[in-house]
Amino acid sequence: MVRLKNRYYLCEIIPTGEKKQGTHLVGGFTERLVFKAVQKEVQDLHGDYGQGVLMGSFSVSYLNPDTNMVMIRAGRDYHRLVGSALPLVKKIGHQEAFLRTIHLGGTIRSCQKFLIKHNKQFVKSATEGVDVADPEVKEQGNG
Amino acid sequence: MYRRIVSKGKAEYFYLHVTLEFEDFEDVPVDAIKFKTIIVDALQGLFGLAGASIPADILKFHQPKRSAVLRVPSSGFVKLWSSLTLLGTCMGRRCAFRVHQVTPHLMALSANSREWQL
Repeated sequence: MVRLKNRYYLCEIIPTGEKKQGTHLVGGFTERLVFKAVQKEVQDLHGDYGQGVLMGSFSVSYLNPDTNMVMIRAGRDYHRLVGSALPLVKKIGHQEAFLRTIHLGGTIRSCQKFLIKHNKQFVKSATEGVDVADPEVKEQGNG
Repeated sequence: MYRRIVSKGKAEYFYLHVTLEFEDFEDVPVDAIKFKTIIVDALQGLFGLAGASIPADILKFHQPKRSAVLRVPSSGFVKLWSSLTLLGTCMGRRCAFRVHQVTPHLMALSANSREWQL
């Protein structure tokens, strides 16, 4: 037996464009919508071949709707096809948005470790100079 | 007189001698520009925009037989060949590309021993 290796792209969804009145709030991304958007770009950029070689492994394995972080899985052999298509995503569902790749990991665990570090750093920089009464508050928002 | 040429390293270009055939033998008018469009569409269908950017050139085109000599950089050679093979329809008609000869040296297309009439 051999292990089927994967690569995980950890991306941040950055919504752009005007928020229209009467429509739903900015955000509301689902794993399915992100998958469809990336899949369409792979189809445009790498055609039926790209679609075919990624079919078995390509999926969106994690999405945090609060922090707009998304983790996209692809087979290790062909993960570069996904990587090249990620910057070309312009729309997710009806919402204009793009993806900013912040990490490429070999396991879900390594991505999670990175994400915790990343979020800790964010909280640290956001609360810098703010007098936080309870030191426990600083530790919130991990993961 | 002959000159001996030794080429080392990988070939820069590959050359293909191909013919476009239609299923119903209709007299479909295809000129060189249309021929090139069909090839680029075949590349884009199978390999997307990345495939459509492969510089495949038509060196020679014989309109009555719809046959051509193509030149492609060796990095895109397999992609071109496979997308020509997998092409099934163009202009709404069923068609196929026949690849007669493939070579890294253009000189080799000067003769084809498979088409000798004995």
